[in-house]
Amino acid sequence: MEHNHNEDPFANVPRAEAWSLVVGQAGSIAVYVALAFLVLSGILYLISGKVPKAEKFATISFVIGSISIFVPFGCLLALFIKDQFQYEYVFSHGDSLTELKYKIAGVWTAQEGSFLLWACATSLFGLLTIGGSGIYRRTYGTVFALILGSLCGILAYESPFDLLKDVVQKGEVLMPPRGNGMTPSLQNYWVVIHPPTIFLGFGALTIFFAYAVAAMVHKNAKDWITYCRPWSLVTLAILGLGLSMGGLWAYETQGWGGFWAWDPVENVSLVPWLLMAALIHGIIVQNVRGRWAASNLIMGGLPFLSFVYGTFLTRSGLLDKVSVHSFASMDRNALGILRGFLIFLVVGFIALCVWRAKSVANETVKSIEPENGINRENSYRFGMMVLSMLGLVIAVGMSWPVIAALRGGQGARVEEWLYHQVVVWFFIPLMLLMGAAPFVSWREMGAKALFGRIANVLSLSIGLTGFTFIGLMDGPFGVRSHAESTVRNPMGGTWPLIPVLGLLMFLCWFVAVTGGWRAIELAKKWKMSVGGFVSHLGFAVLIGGLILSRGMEKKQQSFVQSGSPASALDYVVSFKKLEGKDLFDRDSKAVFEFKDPAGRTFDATPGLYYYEQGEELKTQVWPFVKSSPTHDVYVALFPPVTDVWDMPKTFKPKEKRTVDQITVEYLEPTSNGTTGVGAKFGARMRITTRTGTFDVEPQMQVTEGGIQPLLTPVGTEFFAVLGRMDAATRAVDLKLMFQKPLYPLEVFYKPMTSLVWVGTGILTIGGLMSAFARRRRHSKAPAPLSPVEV
Amino acid sequence: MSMKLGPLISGVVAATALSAVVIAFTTGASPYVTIQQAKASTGDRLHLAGDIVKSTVQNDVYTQTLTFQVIDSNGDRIKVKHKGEKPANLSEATKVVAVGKIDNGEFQSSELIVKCPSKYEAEKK
Repeated sequence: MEHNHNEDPFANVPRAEAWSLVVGQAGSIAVYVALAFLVLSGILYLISGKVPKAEKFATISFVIGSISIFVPFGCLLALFIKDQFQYEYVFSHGDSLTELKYKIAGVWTAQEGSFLLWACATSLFGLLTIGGSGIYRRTYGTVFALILGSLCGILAYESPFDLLKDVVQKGEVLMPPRGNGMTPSLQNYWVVIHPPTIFLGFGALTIFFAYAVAAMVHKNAKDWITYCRPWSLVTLAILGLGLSMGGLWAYETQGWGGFWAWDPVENVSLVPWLLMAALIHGIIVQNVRGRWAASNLIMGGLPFLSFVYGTFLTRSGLLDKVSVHSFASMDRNALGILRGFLIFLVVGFIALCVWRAKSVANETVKSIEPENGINRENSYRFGMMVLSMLGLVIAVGMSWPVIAALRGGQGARVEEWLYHQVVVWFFIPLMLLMGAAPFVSWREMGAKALFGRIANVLSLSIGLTGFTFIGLMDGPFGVRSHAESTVRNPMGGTWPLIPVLGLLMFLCWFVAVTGGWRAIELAKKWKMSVGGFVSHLGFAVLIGGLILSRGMEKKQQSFVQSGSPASALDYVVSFKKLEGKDLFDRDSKAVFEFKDPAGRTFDATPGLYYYEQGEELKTQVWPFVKSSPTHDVYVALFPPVTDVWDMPKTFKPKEKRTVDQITVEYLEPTSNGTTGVGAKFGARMRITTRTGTFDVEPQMQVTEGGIQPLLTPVGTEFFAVLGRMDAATRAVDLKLMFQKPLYPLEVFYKPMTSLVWVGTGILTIGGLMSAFARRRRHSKAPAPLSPVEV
Repeated sequence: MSMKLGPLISGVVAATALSAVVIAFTTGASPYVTIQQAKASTGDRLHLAGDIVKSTVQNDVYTQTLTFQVIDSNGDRIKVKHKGEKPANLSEATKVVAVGKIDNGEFQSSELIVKCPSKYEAEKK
């Protein structure tokens, strides 16, 4: 962390107010208070088996401990809002000039704050679920308190309440007037809503782990399913929403025109989502048939464990080279706790499963004899297997840099194309199952009967796939324009793109049509499970959007200069103007006119502004997206170029040289005779560019403030600027600048991205609908054990 | 169909699939290399990670070529030549992963993955 210190005693620097130091202290202390109460709660829950009275105190202690975790969050929030830059964390990520929403988001922009967010989300779900944990409370509370306690332990070392180095002078705490501010590239509304959403989902994962452990300890593999079913649906919905938000964030701001890059941090959140989806289907089978109780106990723990593993992997620094989400190396003690926590949880959970899962399941859950052949249970088995395998494969993929490094060398990375190639083999059966299984009955049915049920849906899907492609046939990004496009295949060769997309589109339609069909059927009967099928529909729409927008993407790079339009894809692009108060205005835009072959125009206004970092002037750019139902035109602007050669070129007198198609002849050095202030030194030069030959005399002038170069026009295209003249040889450094800056643009067609938004919405609504339908009603009879159609 | 056939098929399918994936990752994953290793390698998706030497960054607009030097973890230096799309916010970047191959002693990059310092903080004590 660098900040300027003057030798001058800090007379003019304001002092931190007393309240701020109290708040910081309170935040640090609250972490320890929470830790103490949670440990106490864990112990009390543990002994409450023998001393029943202890349970009440354990719960009180749990509640106090959990609530205490919100105190550091509140304190940090207050420090951010009130610009208390004497704290290192606030200094690094906050700034007095930013909007309130970014001050709030400052809390979770870095490592310490995201652990705090995780801890808060977990304690929120602890508070929400501890009361309903019934017969499992003793163990559920112990496990939950242990997990929360460990997070407090990490926070005790990864504290966001450390003061800046050297900020304490002679017993007083100085307060820097401004902070570094949140990195400009993070400053948009997604940073406000995405992290809290996804961490809410992560926090909820603890519920299922704690219940699974409790179920095995209490030798009751039956009731926990009922307890956590609504939470599982809520969690899946929140995680799904958080994942989608992350993708949309990347799309809207990163400038590479995509939603998902298989970045390790993205994968860390995808794996628990897949495992949760598998768990939810396992719960259905146990509810309806009383089967799979043992595997559900195991599945219950996996989403949480996978998340802790992923967190460790991404925070440990092991993947530093691979991820765009690079985190600072963690405090060693905190990392030690995280590692110990992970190992303890994994080893403990495996041991418990080996010891108890099967026996507990057999003793407490009455199962119905399995049916043979094609039936719902077998479909779900394959579906869950595919989901879990997909989770496993992605977890292996994100760990590959480490796995490969263990095999020698510096490691290796699994790239997007390889993920796609591998994932598709799981995606195909998954989608076929999602399309067919909703029509499969719990009782055995023949293949013929199944086909009878799905024939309509199948033919409808094939028809709709055809219509999709006919609809997308022509036009600049249409099917015809992709006649030559190919994708890599696993044999090392390529396949034509369109048939591959056709298959994938059919799969999406199949799932969407089935989902919609079943949802309508059930909605007519007012059945509870309608939400599940709505989610399937939303999933298919979302994935369809992702596939089409990536698969049929077109992009072209081009350079636009004021007055010289350039072409990009089918557009003629001209620069119009810069908009905004000044160059440093965060709302500044560069305005480009896009004209299509039919002569229709629209203005693209990617964001562009400058900011200072240290001595350097930096550029921040934002992509511009013009959305329509059929496609987005995505315009990514890159930092404008003003220098023709980034480094000045040195010329000796009489030298003639061509650099990048520009010929420079240094005829002779000149001077105006005077010395001292006002003296001018120059170089007569003949410069030949694409537009002509120009005799120019760029000069430098001695001024009070030192030697200043003068901008000398070279025709209408460039300025010549002298950088330096060697006193002895009269050699000069020449810099050429564009009179009008060059704007590098990358323009994308992204077909059907609207589906990504729509799909996200449907998926989330479906998830919340089913969670609402399955909310616990306390008078509810035990789950039915007879075959029921759902 | 016997009763245990379902789980058995599942097991076999799962094991086969997983082995296939491991093989795919083993053969397909793109290796990270040091400059020294890169010079000895013929791969074309080599991942070279290092610090950008800021003063050497050159952007030739006529040829649309970006060149700069990179220092790897061993302290070796190499010139990286990147043609094609330039990453946004390159000016913010301090670290880079260049993807490409060695050509004439230079590293020809086809893709640059930049690391923005946003989440790099001061090294903890």
